[in-house]
Amino acid sequence: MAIDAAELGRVIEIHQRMVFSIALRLTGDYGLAEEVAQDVFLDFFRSAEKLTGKEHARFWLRRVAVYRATDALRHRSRQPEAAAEEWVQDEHDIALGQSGGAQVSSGVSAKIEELLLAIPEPLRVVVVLRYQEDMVPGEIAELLGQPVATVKSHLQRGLQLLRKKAAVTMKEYIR
Amino acid sequence: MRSLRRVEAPKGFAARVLQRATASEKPLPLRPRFRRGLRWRWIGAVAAILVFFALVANQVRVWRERARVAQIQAQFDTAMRVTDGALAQTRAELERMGLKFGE
Repeated sequence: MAIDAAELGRVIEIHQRMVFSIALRLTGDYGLAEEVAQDVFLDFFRSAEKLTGKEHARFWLRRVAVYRATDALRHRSRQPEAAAEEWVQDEHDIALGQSGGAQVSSGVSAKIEELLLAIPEPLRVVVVLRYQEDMVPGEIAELLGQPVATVKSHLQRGLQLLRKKAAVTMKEYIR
Repeated sequence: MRSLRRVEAPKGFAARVLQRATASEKPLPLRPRFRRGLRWRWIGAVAAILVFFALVANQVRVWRERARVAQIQAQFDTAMRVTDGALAQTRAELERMGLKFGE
């Protein structure tokens, strides 16, 4: 599946939100997320001949986005909580507002984004893939190369942590 | 958790990626890898040449040493033969004079 620049453009148009969102939610840094997303698509451009179809390409993009984002995060070795402030305030309301049909207020959404960035990276990866990408644990396990039991455990622990943190920081939203 | 919706990529994102993609036709990670491989090949080649010259030098030294030992051996043999001859001649003359040598 060798591609030219025009085909790459089409792939970017289709998948840029997915790749960028994964990068943003894992790094918590808007600039770094764009850098990561660009690198993912450049990697895709170079490796496209190894990919066998659209589904494989989507799987590949998700996987590389996760790996590149976690690598960037470790490389930068900065606290994601601090970086989260940068985009949560500036971009979050616009971005989520555009999605339409929001069932929760932007304040709650911003809080959840903040909480998400405060949980450990392996748990965050699983939570993002589950609740942003709507992937089931089996798919996540395949993507990350981990046992399904590990993925389920990370998901459970991630949600528990989020609930605990939410109980403390989102008292005004929880009755 | 349902608020985890995908976020829009920054404006002009696709254009920036395409610009980078067309700017670098060759894969970026391959170049350092190639250089790294090339550097190791050079180091290997130089090391092999050094080892070769060290082995040759050692062999030449061994050959020279053997030649010197052979030469000394030959000189010693000659000296022994000369000495044996002189001693035999002296013994013969002493016997002719009626003296027993070595008894």
